[in-house]
Amino acid sequence: MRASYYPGCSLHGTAKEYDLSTRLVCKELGVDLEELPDWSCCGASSGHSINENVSEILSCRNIAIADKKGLDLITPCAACFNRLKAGEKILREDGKKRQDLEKRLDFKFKGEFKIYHLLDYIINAVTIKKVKDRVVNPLTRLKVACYYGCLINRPNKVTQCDYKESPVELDALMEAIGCSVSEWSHKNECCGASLSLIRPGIVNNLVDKLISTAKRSGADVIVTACPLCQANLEMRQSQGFGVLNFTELLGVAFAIKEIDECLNKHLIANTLPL
Amino acid sequence: MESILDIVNKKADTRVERCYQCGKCASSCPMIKFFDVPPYKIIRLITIGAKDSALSASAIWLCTSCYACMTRCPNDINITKVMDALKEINLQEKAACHEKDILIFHKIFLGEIARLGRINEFRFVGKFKIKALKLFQDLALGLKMFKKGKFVFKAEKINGISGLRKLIR
Repeated sequence: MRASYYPGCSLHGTAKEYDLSTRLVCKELGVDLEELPDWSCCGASSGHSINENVSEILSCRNIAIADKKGLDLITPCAACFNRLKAGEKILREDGKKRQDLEKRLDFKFKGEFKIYHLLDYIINAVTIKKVKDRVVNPLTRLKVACYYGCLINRPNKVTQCDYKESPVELDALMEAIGCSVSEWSHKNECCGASLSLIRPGIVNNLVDKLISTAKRSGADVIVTACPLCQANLEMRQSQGFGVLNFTELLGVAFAIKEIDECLNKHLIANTLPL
Repeated sequence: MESILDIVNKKADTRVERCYQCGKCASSCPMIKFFDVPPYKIIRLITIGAKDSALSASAIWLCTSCYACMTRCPNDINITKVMDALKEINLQEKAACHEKDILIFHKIFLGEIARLGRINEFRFVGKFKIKALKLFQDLALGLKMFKKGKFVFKAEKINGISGLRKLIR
C-alpha cells in the first residue's frame, strides 16, 4: 500500500517520536509512506482564527500537491487533518470557490484520493485484522484511557466521522493489541492546546481535570492520536501521569526495537506494565 | 450599511437568529468559566445589533475552537465559525481587543508561515515570548524539553516560499 504522508510541523519538531513511531509502524503494516514534496504548514488555529482566506490557501496548497500524486493522503496530526478536510470540503462542494482556488494555486482538482487521519487509515484501509496478525507482544497488562481530543471528530460535517460524541476507533485498535480500555467521560473534551503557550494557567486547569478523570477510570496511561494533545497533556499536568502516542503502543505490541527511542523522548517517564 | 448580523451570517455561513437561548453551547464549552460573555449571549448580541459588545468580548479570543458547541447546537448554528468571524471583523474594524497576547500569537504564527512556509517551534516560541514579554514563563519546562532533545534549532524553509508569499500576503 502506497500513500502520501503529511507529517505537519510538530512531527518535524517536538513530536519527533510520533513521526518516527508512525514510520516504523506503517512499515511493519506494509504501508509505504511518501512524504508530500514541499508541503507547507496547514495554518492551524491561527489561520482560521484571524484569516479565513489564508487558511483556505494553506490547506488547498497541500491538497493540490497530493492531488497531483493521486495517492491517499495520511496525516497523524488531528489539527492538520482537520484543516486538510476543511480545504477538501470547499474543493468538493463549493464550485465557485474551487474555481478561484484552482486559479490562484494553478492546478485542476481531480480529487481521486482520500484524506485520512492515520488512525482512520489503519482501521479502515489497513484493517484491524491485519494489525492483530502482527501482534507478537500483546499488551494484556495495560489499561489505557483513549483520548481523542476535538479535531479528529469535530465538526463531523468536515471530518465525516460517524461518532461525533462517543468515538470508538482508538478503543477498538487498543483492544486489538491486547490492552483493556477504560470508560471515561473526557474522551473528546478539549485540552486547550491552542492556548497552552499563552494562558498556561487556564490550560493547567483543563488538563489536570482530564488527567484526574483518566486516573479515576483505572487507566495506567493516556493514549492520544494528536501531537498537540500529546504535548499539551504532558506539559500542563502536575500528576506525572504518562501520555503516549497510539503508534508507540502499536510499536511495542509489534516488538519493534527502535520504539524505545520514542518512549525515551517523553517528558514523563513511562514504565509500562508489560 | 450592512448589519453585524448580516456580516456574521455571511462570513460564518450560518443563521444566528435561529438561536432560542437554550444554553447548550455554554454547557458544552470547556472554557465557559473563563469566558466574560457566554456563547449564547454573544449570539444574542449579534442578533440585536450590539456590535461593539460582541466584538470586544474576550471570549471570542479565548475560544479554543473545539467545535463542541456547534456540534450540539439544536439550531445548527456554526458557533465556532461565528467566533472566528468576530475575530476577523474585530481586526478589520480595529475594535477593542482585551486579549492582546492571543492576537500576538496568531500574528507571529502567520508571519512565520509567510517567512518559511512551515513553523519551527523553537523559533516561533522564542519570537512569541519576546513579543509578549513572557521570557521567563515555563523556563523549567523549556530546559526539560531541551534536555530531552525536543527542540529542532534549524528551521526548514519550503522551496515554493516565494509563490506561497504572493498568495498569502
